[in-house]
Amino acid sequence: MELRENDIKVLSTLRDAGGTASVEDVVRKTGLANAAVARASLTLSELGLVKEQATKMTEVFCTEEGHDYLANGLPERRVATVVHDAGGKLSVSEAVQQAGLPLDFVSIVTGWIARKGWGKIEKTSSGAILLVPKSPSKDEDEEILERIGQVSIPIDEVPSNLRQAADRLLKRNILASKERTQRKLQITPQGVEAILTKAPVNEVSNLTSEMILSGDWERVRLRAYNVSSPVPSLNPGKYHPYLRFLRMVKRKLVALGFREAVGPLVETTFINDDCLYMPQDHPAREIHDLYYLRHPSKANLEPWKDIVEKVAQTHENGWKTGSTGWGYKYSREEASKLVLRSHGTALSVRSMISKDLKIPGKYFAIARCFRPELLDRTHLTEFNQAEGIVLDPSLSLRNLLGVLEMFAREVAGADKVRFKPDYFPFTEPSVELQAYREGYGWMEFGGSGIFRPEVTEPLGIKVPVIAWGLGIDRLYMMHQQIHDIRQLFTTDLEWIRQQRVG
Amino acid sequence: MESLDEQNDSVSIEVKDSNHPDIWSVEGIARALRTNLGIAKPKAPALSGKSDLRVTVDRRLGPIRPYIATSIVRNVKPSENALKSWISLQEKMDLTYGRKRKRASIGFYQADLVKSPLRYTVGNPDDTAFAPLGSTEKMTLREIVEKHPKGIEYGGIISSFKDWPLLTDGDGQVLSLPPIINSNDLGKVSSGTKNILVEVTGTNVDTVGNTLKIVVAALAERGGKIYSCTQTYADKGAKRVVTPDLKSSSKELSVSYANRLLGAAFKPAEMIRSLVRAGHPSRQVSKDTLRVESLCYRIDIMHQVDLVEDIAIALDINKLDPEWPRIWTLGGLTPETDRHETLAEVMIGLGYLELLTYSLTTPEVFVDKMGLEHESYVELMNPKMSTHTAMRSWLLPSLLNLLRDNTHVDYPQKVFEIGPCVVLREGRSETETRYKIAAVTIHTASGFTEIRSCLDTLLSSIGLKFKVEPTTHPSFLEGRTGKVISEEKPLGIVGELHPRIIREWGLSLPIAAFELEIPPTAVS
Repeated sequence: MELRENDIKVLSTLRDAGGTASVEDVVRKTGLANAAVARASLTLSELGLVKEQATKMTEVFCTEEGHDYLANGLPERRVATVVHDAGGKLSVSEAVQQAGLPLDFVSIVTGWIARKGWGKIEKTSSGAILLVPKSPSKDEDEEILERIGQVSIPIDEVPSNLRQAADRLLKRNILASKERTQRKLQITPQGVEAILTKAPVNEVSNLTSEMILSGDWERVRLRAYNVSSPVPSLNPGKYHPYLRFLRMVKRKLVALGFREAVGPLVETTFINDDCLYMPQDHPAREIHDLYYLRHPSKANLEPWKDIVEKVAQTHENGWKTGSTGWGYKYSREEASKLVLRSHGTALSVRSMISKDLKIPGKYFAIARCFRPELLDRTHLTEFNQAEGIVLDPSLSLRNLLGVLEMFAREVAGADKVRFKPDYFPFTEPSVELQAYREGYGWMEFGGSGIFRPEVTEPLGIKVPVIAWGLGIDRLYMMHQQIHDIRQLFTTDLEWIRQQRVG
Repeated sequence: MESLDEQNDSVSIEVKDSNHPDIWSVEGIARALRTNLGIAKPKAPALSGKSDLRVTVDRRLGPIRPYIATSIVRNVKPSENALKSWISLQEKMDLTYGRKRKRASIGFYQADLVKSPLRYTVGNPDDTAFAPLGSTEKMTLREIVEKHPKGIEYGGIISSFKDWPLLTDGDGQVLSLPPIINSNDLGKVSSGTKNILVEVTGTNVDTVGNTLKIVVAALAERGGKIYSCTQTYADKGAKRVVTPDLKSSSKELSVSYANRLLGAAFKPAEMIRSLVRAGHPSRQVSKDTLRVESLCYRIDIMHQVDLVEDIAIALDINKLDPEWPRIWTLGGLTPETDRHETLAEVMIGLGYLELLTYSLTTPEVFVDKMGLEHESYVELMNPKMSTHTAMRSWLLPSLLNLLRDNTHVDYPQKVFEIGPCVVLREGRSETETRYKIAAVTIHTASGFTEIRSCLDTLLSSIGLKFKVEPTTHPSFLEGRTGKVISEEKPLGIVGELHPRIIREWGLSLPIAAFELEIPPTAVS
């Protein structure tokens, strides 16, 4: 047990005050700050050297009116003095006015002068006359007002001879009272002993460079902090929670041997739809499902002129793919229209027509996509899709199922998977992935399939291509237990700051 | 199957295939189930004979709606339920396969009230009148298009033409105004109607023919007898076309091709069993070749790959063993993504919080509120919301948009985003998606030095040589704004935001910011 200088000061003060003193008294007598006395008394109580007592009491204090009278005298004193100085006799109203008091004080003042025996009233034909034959001496009312005017005191500490006077002034609203808790400190016998046995330790709070260099740190004591108390919080720089999740997905796909693909947000309907064997009057290409551009509205298809020819023929009559085709007149005008990418599969087309394409190959993309939707709990107009392809002569439907199963387990943390037939204009066979996760039940995760020959052959690809797309936004929502998809693009900074990183 | 309601003895079935209209009716689903469960063998609907009905087709329909296909189905006497099913099939086909009646639309009539020959012709919108279905009052074609609910819904398909399609009979009675509405006199089919005339008009000859086949096949499932009709096209050398064409088509399927695609080793006989269950009568013609018939209504079969999928579905794909592809490939991120990651790492180290904001926004945000005037940008033709009408050309406004919503949140606020913008290439109408990086610091003491320090740290961390020169920008405060230049090319801007812009966004603290093109990978 070591005591600091302040602790010893507080103990000595208590001893000198007879063992007990209020906190205010201790502050006054030691000259320490409130906080320092509070800290010392906390330490001392913990050590059993003082006891803290809290007592409720009524304290008497001087009102604003009381302070006025303290400075200028009670009204009856002021009027009595005026009358006495005027020769001991003056009309009541004149006296009140000369004393600087309003006329409605007349009855109060005359009442008190009479009651205190300082003078008397004479009724004459010209009005009431006040007689004060000699200067009254100071009375109890004035005595108690002087005392309390300087410092408020507990009502119990008012001397008994002034008790009645205090009550009078309370009634006159010159004094007032309030309930207050008074904290008192009482020194214990161990405390008294400690004063004699303990030498104070010299403490400092800040370790300075000088102290380190000079070696002074050895000669001082660094104040111990309360390490358990709360500290201010910080807002660190960190990843956006959803982008963090997408990074994790990317890492997993890269680990599975997938190479990332990128592409523009603005596409032609040629890349976005035609290359995927979606007929030009397909419902998914209507303005309800696809954002078309007003400005600019068209692109030059020149860079893809070889492919355009083959795609056009495939749509019209199947070209050399062995298909019947859709049997309509293909429009290059329609193909050149610009749209916002509406699905990640457009990026798979980009990968397939890229000169860097390798077979065998695995490619993926996390694609920002756009569809004309109103925002609600389950729809965004701008969203993300995870999309990928696998190309190799050996691929089969079983491999497609194998890829889906791997994703469900690795990326979505699924416990079980099952497959359902699905339909997309660009894949055949098409498979829907359903994954089961404990606590969530069966959930639809994404669509997939093997690209139709009508898709791959015009692009110059002669091997089977497995294509898959995962509802990555939904996967994240499940991961984070988010029930409103708009949260992904929230502007709520506090939410972004507070999301856990692991 | 979606759900089973044992109390009401009913199941609901989800039909995903938008290319499979033959199962868009109770009749079609029952037919598919019968073959799938082995209750019945797949069998093409039969033609009971030729009807006397002839249809002449006016050459003037050429640019408007040139094709028509008709058939009479006798002895139907449909129940209320049957009628409900057919009308629902008609609506679904008109909507999806018929592309909202543009490509094809279906009409039902009381065959016994109609006098041969029908004339598929054109009528003047103001001179021709008839009572549309559900009304006894005659209306002109134009009145129907302008006032009748169906006219308002589908009128756009024909309204731009001078004359409109019209179907009349031998007595000159109007059957319908295709593809809008039938006449109330001839085009009202009820549960007592014994013989039904089915008519399909449209712009695509295959779609029109296919639609007729699917509809009459559904009617025949309830016991109706199908009779053909003859169309005579005036403009094709009086070419005669008899409809419906109920012939099956057939395709060869290679057993080894199918096995390769499925990853399986089925014997020809096993494959044939699956194909039959899927509704395709099939037989083996050589060691590796099957001849597979697709019945007339199976318009989804375009390629032998479609038959392979039918085999898989008939088998249940869950019976195939999933197998991870046994190919070795090297995974990796693009150099662009690697670059973004490096930049994000440094920004986070500098205490900045990463954001994700919409790239589809509105010029009010990234032009008007930033004090810009002659900014060019990519604009949508069909925006759905006034808050999402154009692609942003820069990022900073998206960040300010977020700060605006967070004036109650603890300051300082330091945020950054690496995100896509779409810009128009100078002088041309070509678009380019470009990733950019922007950072913003807002607090009582934010300022140029603070943001410039961040910028310098960021660029020197990636080893980029650059300089900052004074510039002016409508969003920034003059004298406290710099142009960032690297390799003699502008890279971006750094500075303190103009107080006018700060107020414009409803903010009240100093803001310092930078925005850069993603710096090219430095040559070491």
